[in-house]
Amino acid sequence: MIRIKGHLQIPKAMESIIEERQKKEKNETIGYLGSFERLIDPVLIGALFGLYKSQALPPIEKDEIRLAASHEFNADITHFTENFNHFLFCLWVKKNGAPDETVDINNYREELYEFISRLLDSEYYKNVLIPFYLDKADQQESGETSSFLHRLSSSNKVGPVLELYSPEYLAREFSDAQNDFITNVIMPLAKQK
Amino acid sequence: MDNIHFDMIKVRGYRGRNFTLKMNPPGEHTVFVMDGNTGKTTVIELLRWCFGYPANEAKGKFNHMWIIPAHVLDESKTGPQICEITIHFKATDNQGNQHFYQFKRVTEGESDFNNKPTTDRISKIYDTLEIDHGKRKFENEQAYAFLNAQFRFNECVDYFCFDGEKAREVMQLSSNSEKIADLLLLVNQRATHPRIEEYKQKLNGLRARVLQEANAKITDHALKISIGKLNAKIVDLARLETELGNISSDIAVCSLAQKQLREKAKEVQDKITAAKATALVKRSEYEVKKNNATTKIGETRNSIYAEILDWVSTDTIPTINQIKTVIKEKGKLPEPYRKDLVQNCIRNKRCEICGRPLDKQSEERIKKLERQVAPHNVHVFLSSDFSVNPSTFDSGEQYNIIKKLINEYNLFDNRIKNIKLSAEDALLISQKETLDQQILDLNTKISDLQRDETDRKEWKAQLKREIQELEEKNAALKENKIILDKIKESITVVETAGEKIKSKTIDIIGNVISENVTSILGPKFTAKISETEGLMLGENGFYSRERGGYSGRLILSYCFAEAMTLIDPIIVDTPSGNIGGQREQLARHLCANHKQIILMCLPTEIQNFAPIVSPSTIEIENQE
Repeated sequence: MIRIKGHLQIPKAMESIIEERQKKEKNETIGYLGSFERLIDPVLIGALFGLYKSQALPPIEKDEIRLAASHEFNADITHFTENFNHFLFCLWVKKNGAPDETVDINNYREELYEFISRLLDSEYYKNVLIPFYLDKADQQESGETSSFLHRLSSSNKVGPVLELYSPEYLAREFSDAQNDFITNVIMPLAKQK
Repeated sequence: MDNIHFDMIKVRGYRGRNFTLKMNPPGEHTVFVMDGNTGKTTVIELLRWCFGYPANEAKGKFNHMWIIPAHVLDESKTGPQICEITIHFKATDNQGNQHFYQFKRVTEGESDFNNKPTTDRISKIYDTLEIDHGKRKFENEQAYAFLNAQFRFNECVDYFCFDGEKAREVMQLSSNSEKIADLLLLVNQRATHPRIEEYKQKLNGLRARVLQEANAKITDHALKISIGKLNAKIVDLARLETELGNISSDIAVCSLAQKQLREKAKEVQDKITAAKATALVKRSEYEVKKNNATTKIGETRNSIYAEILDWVSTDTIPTINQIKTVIKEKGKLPEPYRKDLVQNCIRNKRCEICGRPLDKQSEERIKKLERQVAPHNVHVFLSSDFSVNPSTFDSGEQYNIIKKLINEYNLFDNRIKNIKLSAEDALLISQKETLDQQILDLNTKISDLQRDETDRKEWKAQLKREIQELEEKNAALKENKIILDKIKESITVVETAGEKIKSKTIDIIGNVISENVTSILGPKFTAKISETEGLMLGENGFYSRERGGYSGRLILSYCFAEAMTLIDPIIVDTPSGNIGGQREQLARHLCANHKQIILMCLPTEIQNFAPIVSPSTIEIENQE
């Protein structure tokens, strides 16, 4: 079981998303951001977007990544990590290649085991993995006016117009990034067999 | 403040009109004879606007007859202009000293036909209150606060400035069984006995003195600090109680205002629906469709975020499982070893399975094995199939649904914009939009107030617990325990008395109204106000909501207004319009009950009425 317990480092944009979502608990007037079922949901989707967009492996050697803000959670995210870990596993195989008996297979196994061990560690998830990918999702890509997280935080109130920060646009952007990841990372591995 | 007497009301630049109403000196009533369209209703409405809203909230709050909001500036004039309302009055303070007051509201701006909802493009509203010819001066919100603290004008301006519209409103309230709660709320606002707060303050003061005396006797530093804390908490509690009282009355007022706005909005909507104009009917139909599209857009967007974790695709699960199988097979990933077994072998230099001692070569081999051992959870991850519940979320489909709804919204919006409405219809639409916005604003205000109330109630309960703990823990207070307990008990009694007084006051106000009704309509008629049936007129001891006819109910409204006002003068627009045969009695009744009566009569109202109030009438004409 992977549980986020304690203070999680988050970017400023995510802090404002969480503040808006918290209004739901306080029975205050809420916008679209109040619709997230759990407080942790936007954090998880933001982290996954960071993985899709960056296609980078997390730093295995680090024990902590600090960001501009933090928020205290106590949430079970096991179900979500099933997906996340398998995408990360595929990315690791893509970066390190398939095991080949002509090279040092023992070393390959050792590194793979270590990588997977880190993915199954709640503390690593909280202190490194999620902050690492949230930071990626907070970065503005060239040609974009603002980062995914920033636009997510702006999506609380949108009128009857299609905007780059409307919920439907962000969902489609997430889906596009997901398709890119599947095309670039997962499908080539499937073909290699 | 007592002996309030209005001396003069001067209006300059209101819709291009200027007029001055100069009242007779104290001890005399005043009757103005004003023909149609000379400013009778305007005076009443301007007074309600000036006394009912502070300068910073006055924009868009002026109501003229059934136009909400209405304009004050001259529509025929271009360029900057001002509208000025000046009110002179005097009053006597508790020491018997008379003071002179001059209230002035200046509205600056220009008239613009493209501006909505009124043609007024107001740049500034500025209030000043000068006391005793400039000895003291208050501006804007301070002026408003002073008038309310000293005269409570804001609470009763609707009643001491009385007109047919207010009478109609009271008649509706008293004849509609669904509105009894609204009527009682109005009455309850008058039912707060000022002495109750005073008693509570005195009891709190007494408690503070007991603590002060206890504090003076003790030398122990820790005990002194504890009493200091206790004192601070008692002060906090008193402040909190005042705030709670204010919040709760604000909530009641806002809820009533919202309910009334809803009714007005419904009336306007009914007029829109009933309108025969095709354009208006079409517009209304498009408006409904546009609103439906907006609602559906909102619902779809909310569901997109509610299902955010379903954004993750599950289509690749079989592919990922294939990749895992290939990696496991190609890499010949070993089965997990028991970590403890491997470590025992290395530590004891003996094979834990067969018992043979380990030679150098075997030891190296086992050490190498240990490095490659997959921990149990890693092994489970690699060997188990990846499986999660399939997601059916389709972002493309959701995007298209919203795109279609937005197109629908734009289509109806354009159709609405292209409809040419008559001036009358446009006014109805503008009124409806303004009312809807006001209802929304009040909704937000009420929610905020309710949240503040809940927070403060929790805080109050917490403070009470803390005060009790501090009192119990502090040894120095033991000798004062009996008196402190008595004070606490008395505060509880005073608080419950407040509620009892409310129900008593309803009876008292009912009796006052009844006396007034009898004095005008004769001994056969009485009135009754009750929590179950509201305000009723009685004839020969039989009460109902229809009794007395129009004129009887109008008299009942008069009496209700008199019971609800908190000051003596009464200013009435078209006072005897529909009174019929009771004119003389009404005039005599008003004279007997008020030190100052200001009547704005139509020329047709003079007979059997005006001379009883004032032997000489003053004719007023507009000066352009």
